[in-house]
Amino acid sequence: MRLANPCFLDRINVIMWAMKLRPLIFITGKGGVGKSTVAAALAYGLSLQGKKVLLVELAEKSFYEKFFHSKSIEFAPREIAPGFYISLWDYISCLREYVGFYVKTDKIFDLFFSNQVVQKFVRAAPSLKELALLGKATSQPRKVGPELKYDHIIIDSYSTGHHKALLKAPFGMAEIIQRGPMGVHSKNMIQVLQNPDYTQHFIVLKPEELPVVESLELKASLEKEFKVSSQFICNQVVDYPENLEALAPQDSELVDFFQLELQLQNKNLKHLESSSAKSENKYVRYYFEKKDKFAFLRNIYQDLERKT
Amino acid sequence: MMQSLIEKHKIFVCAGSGGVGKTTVSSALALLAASMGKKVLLFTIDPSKRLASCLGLNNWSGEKVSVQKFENGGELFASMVDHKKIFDEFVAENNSSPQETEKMLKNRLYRELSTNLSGSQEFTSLRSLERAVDSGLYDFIVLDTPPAQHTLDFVKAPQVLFHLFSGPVVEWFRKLTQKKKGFLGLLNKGTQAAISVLEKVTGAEFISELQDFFVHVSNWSPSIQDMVIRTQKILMDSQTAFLIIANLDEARLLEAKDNIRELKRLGFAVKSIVINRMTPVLNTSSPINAPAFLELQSFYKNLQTSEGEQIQQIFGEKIPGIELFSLPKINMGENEIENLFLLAKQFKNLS
Repeated sequence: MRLANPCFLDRINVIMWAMKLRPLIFITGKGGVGKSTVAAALAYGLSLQGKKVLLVELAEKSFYEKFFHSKSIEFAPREIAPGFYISLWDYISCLREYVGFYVKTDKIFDLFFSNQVVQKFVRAAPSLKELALLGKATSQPRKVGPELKYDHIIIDSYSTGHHKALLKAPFGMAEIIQRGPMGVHSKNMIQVLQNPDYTQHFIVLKPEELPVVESLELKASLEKEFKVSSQFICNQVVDYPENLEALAPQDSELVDFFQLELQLQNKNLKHLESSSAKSENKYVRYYFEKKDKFAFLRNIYQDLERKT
Repeated sequence: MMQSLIEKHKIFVCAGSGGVGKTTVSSALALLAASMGKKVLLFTIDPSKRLASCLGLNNWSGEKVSVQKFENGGELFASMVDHKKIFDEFVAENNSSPQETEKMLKNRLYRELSTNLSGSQEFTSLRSLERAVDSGLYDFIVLDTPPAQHTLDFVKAPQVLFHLFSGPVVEWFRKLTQKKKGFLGLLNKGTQAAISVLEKVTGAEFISELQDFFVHVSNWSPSIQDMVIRTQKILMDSQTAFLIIANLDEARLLEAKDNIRELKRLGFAVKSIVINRMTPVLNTSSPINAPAFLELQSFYKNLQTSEGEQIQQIFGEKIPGIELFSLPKINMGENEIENLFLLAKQFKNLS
């Protein structure tokens, strides 16, 4: 598949695309499709447009630290490029911040977190981790916790199954617990997650069979279970030479192999487009990852803002 | 050779982040072992039933099934871990009475969250592994680990679960129950403060549900402890090898290197890294001179250069005790089991 090069009129689309982006953006998808790279490209591209952006990773160890060969990335945001911040949210730090919002006395706060049982409990209690992370992500409009002064917060979320478990936490909790802070917070989190003017959900995939199937299922189930709509970003679409199909395969192993790859790619793109409007999807071409990560991300961002 | 790594072991645990083709590689390894004349069990945890399609099994319920027989006596069996069934069995076995079990299964928190409990999938897979080992039916077992946020979740899960169900946390909530009956004095100052904070930030209703939940699960504590010990023994056995499955992705491979260090520190033997889906070696010579062909040639050359550079950069310095293997990207097509066997013969030692 060939993507057209941008012309002057495309600038309008570019501006439209940036305008349609919401303050809170979740990026998910099947493992290995390049979620983190797409999330970073989006964050970096927006920062180049003058936005202040926070890219958030939810992990125990930072991926971006390795990706950017940067100094350590922790809970406190690190400015990687002008206006482009990265932060690693671990649930303990999120929980500490949340509890700190309620418990103003340092002594009691410390007593709570230094309690051995509390530590073990927090580690294993069902849904608590997820609620702590989502609580922080949605804290701004709920006016809970310290202010997050960014134009966009982009969450490089977990892959499919774990992302669903993450979103499920407030829904499950709100159902069980009706009253008290836990019930109220869960309900408010759901409101933020479902508000299309505040929150956006992207599913990243590759034009391969399993990612396409899994992404279509995920989109449907986000819609059904959480009443949340989402948009596809199809990553790593290989820009095969024009007329590749016309070459005679019997003469070359190379042609044979890539013709099959092209056929598969086309088949998978068609499958994707059979259940999603092509014009709503975003397509990113395959780029070789170079030493200069920012140039690599710029390429991806340019494809993101382009109209399909 | 991958064959000699198989000969030296009885269990392969295949770990790695999602989307790298862990299930395909596990299947290829199991098939390879079976072709060497072994009775092999391939265990998978796969909600998408990926393995079924990979092994050419249609409408497979996940029950143990014979997939392929070899003339030398080798045979490959496949089985899928049924989490819900195993978990429910566990609940039933560990409650003192059917009434107790029913009460537990009715607990709203349990119902909503038991399948979501951190480590529950890992727990059920380990329980299945243990049963397979005990059955004595197999010469070789390949375990395809559940998709995890982190590679290490799998080995850490039993301890996490153990912490949840073991003494202190359960005790704490037990005392909380007694507190309501007027036994305040049983709690020390720190715990009293902690509970009041917990109640303040979560609400009384939440605490009371939790309390119910923990008091119920306290019955499980001894069994879980036993199981943790037994499975750790299996995982740390000298005949068990961990294999890290990965793709060529710089940041992820650096992560994999960290994971290997961590696994070793915890006492697990990582023996190999398998880099899956490498661009295959293709004959590029051809009489074709069309521009499209030249463009394709240059794309292929770039792919190969890029992969070669990454391998050099990350594995230029050998990791002691670890064999590096690669597998080429292949199209599984319609005839899965045959293609899988084709793939299984292509483990290439890069170290």
